[in-house]
Amino acid sequence: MTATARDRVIERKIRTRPDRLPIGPLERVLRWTLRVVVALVFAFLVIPILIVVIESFNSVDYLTFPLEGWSLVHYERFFGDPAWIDATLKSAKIAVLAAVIATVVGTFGAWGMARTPGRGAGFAFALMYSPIVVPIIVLAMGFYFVFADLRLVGDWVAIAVAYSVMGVPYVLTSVSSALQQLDPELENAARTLGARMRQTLARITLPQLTSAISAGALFAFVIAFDEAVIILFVAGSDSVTLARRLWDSVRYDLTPTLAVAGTVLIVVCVGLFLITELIKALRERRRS
Amino acid sequence: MATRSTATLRPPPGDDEGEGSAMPGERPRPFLRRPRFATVALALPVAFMVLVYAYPVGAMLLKSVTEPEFGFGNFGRAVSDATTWHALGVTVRMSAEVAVLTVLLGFPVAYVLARVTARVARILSVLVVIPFWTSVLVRSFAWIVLLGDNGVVPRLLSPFTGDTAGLLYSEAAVVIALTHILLPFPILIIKGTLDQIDDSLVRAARTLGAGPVRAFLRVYLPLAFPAIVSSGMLVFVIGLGFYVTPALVGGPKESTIAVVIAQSVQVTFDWGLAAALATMLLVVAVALTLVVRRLTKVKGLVSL
Repeated sequence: MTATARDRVIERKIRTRPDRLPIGPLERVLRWTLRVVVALVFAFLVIPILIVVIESFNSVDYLTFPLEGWSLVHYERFFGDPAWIDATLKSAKIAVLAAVIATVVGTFGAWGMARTPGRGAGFAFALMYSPIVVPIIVLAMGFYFVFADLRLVGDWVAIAVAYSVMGVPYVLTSVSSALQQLDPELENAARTLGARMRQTLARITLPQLTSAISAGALFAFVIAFDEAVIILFVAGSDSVTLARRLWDSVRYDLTPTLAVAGTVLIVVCVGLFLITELIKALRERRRS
Repeated sequence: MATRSTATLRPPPGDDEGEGSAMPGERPRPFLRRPRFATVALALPVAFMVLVYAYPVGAMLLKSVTEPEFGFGNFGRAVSDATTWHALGVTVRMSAEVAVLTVLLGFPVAYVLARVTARVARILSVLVVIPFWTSVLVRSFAWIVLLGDNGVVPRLLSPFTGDTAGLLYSEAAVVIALTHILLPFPILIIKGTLDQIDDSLVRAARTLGAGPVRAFLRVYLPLAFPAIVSSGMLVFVIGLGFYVTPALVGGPKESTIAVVIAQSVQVTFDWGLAAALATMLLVVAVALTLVVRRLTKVKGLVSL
């Protein structure tokens, strides 16, 4: 192909797809390399999680991969063992309470911050957001000392309250960003029409924040459901959560029953995540 | 409504006094008024956080200078102790390795996520966020299965190493597992920045004669740089305080600071030393996070 002929081809390509430049051989190689690398990284991200799920169907009493045979024996063992079931229910109980507290605190905090001018809001934000920054081991020690002083070690309500602290930042950021997109004139309109502030909040503002609040709440639940550091310090014999039992089991007996416990955690947490994605998709459809 | 006609712009008493009180010809403020509703809505969560969060952390900080007696003796012991320095070295080295690895692996993914159509990006993002929502404990366990004796990874590597001995309880194992656990952070942070880069800049560079590599390196990459640096720092900070993975996947030689802290609390009952180490960890984490926050924001992890 002569130079002018190639120029003409390029020119035509630019005219038909003005957003695309012609792709040279170097670029083609680079693109394929990129695709391969990205595919490998995705495999790296997802495969370990799949391995846990697959391992739970193991038919023998030790961890192997690939499996020597498929069976549900470890599911029977997990669901037949009151200790695992109790731990799962305890985790759920603690996580529900923690999520409720975190949601109330985070939602009111976000709304109060948005409606409070000046320094106060900044201080409140720092206080409510910072649990995300503080290393969990530091939080765990703080709770351990206080729980020991107040004789609260092992108390499930106290554990739930401690966990709620870790959920607050997520509820806060989720609700805050939704509040920013809210039209403030709606609140003003309600107020000018004579509604009191708390009526405005309950009837106008909160209903528009439901999806943001539920996303925050679900994440707060997930954090509390699989929290594994604080519980090592503050669990008594009466408050062994699923994560705590899982930890002990990983440390001392590494059996495939563990993989079932892990799968339960994965199913609950990923299931809740997919629910938030669904809420998001539904909301966007409604909007458009 | 006629009776309220003069008061329509003034909020009912005892409520928000925001714009209303700025109106000219307004009644003077009552001497004592009930606090604004918004103030109460903010004060209660703040009070809760002070009681349940600031107080325990504060008590922990205080213990570093009062346990067993008042003074900076704990910090002195922490600084003069060889184990501390060793743990600190291990922690910093591993966190740095993990930070570099996550950024190197995360950038290509973020780049692709930012350039595919919105629909594809959403589906792929789910694959990135699912690991983020999965328990750290479970993901560490997954690596125990993968890296253990006769595990998948040692067997894949056996042609090169000659045996199938596991890689567990080593620094490499911790670095691999932590890279897996923290990878979603850089991907999502960098993607957030790449989404905002104007594609026409690269096209302009190309039409002006730059090759694909040059256009990328000289135009695209500098724009992504702040996000790359800050996400690396964020991973570094999280890595510094990580406990679960080093404790489960790492060996005793690779004790991180968090592992040493936990041992001081639970095994040697040296609460003062543990509190001093935790205080130093907290100061470093907060300082580095403030720097990161200046550069970018974490978005997309929990959002609707």
